[in-house]
Amino acid sequence: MQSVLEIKGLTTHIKTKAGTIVPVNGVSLSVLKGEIVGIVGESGCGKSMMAMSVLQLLPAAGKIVDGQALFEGADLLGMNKRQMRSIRGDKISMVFQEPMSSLNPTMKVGKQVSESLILHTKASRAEAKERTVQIFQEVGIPDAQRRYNSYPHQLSGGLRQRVMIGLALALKPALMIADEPTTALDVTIEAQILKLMKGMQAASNTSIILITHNLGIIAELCSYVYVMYAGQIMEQAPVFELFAEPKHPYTQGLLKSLPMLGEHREKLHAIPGSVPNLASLPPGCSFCPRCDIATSACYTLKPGLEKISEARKARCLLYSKGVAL
Amino acid sequence: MQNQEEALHADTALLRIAAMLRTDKKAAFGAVVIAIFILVALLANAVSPYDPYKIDLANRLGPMSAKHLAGTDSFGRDVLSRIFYGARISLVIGLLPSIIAILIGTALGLVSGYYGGFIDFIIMRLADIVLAFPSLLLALVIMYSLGVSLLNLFIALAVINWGVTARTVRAQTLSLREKEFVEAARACGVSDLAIMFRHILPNCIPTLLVILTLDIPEAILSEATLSFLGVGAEPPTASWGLMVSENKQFLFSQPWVAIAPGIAVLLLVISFNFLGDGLRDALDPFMSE
Repeated sequence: MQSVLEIKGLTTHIKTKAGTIVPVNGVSLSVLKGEIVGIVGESGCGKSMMAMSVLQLLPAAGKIVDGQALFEGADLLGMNKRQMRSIRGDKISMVFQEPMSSLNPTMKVGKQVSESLILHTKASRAEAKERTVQIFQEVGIPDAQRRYNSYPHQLSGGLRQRVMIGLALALKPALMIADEPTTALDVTIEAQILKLMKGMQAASNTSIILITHNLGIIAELCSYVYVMYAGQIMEQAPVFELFAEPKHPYTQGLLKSLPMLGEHREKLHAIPGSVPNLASLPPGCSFCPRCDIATSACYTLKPGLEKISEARKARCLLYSKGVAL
Repeated sequence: MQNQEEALHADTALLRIAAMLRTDKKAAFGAVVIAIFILVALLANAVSPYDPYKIDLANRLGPMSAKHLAGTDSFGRDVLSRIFYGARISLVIGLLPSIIAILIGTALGLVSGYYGGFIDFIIMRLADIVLAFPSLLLALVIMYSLGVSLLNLFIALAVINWGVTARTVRAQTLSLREKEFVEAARACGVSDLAIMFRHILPNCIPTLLVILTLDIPEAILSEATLSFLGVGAEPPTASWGLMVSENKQFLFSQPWVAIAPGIAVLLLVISFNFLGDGLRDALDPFMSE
């Protein structure tokens, strides 16, 4: 199948007072047409920075130093501001974590959606308004006509996120990047929003990159998963294979730390330690200080992303040929 | 529940201001006095008992009486009529240059805060220069070098006032541009200009309103001061500052003639300050929400 987005060797640097950090370090991934791809990892592993790099929305201190992001054949990273603006919102859209703060508090929510419609389709105000009300109905906002004139603070968190999803899907983009779309919502609303996203995706055949730290959401929605750690892809696999048989010790740790129904455990498993400081990564495997099975080789050798089977890769010396552990 | 929701829906800045005026007595007083002054200024030719420019030398420095409620000045002109007409000058001088200053300051502050870097440096150093001088001294210098006229007075008052607005708007823009909704707008492909004026500016409006109500009395005071010093409005214009200046030598023999316009200045300035305080209280929580 044809891929919508093909990221190759993306590397992003951010200059900080403590030195240059590399939140995205040679990440390659591909998203097929109509596919939901999950990116999972702890806070600070570079998931969001990767998404921001693709849309060239990095903070001023950030800089893409290497790689390609081929979107429908054209490299996004080589595009100028104007070309990027015509892509953002229209071809690639984004849903953010906090639905409260990602809506302008001084603007009616309907206006915010129609602004994007007018911008990209040259629709008239009346057409845009009509279309927006229609979109609000599609994303399940009750009383859409009246909600058009609501301000963000008058809506509940779930409704706001529905508005955001409506905004993201308004122009039927080829790709939607959802950065922790349900983290700020409670679980019942989360389930509704996920169902909505899946339904909308099926109807419009939009590809989705779903960024989350919640493996449950990945299992529910995605068909393929990338596990990120310290700016690198640690493991990539089709979702069933990953959950059935995680290859990388980090993924194994993540899965072990999930609570399971019908299983009695005194205490949930936790991966010891915390995410490494991106400014001072260990010379070897970036996960080895927290790894249960690390050997001395792990501290000195950098593992490559090794192919394990047709659809799977993992970055661990366990799978590197010719390395004696 | 339904009521609560309706109440939420009615919660706009305008209604907050209305609610504030109902509870805040000082702000309500300010609003009423300002409204009266505006009415008087608009209808000056209808409410004034006499022609403010009609000289009546037989009636110089007349006392307060039923015929001349605030007496007459050294040319025999009716002081009350001149105060009514002076309200025009004071309000126009208070409003126009302040609005011009706020427009300039807002545009520069937005650009400065949003783009940062070199543009920011240049604009902020300019603002520093303006703010480094005592504002009255700067206005005096501008008036002396441009010549005394009402237009130049506008320019001088606008020039001394834009710096504070520019700095305030820049500071707000700095924090607002990091907000997620600005990022979301950018992720929708909205242009920089539209982000500045459609997304950031509306969030600065409550602050700008407060700055405006603080700038206006300052401009009124500056006009009065400059006129008093002889580089503002020119005689025989009916300007409050000029009236105080013209009649100051009679302060001991016929105090009311100089004090009355002074009281008018005081009343208007205080009213604007009261209203400004009330507005800030009413609109600040709106910002932090």
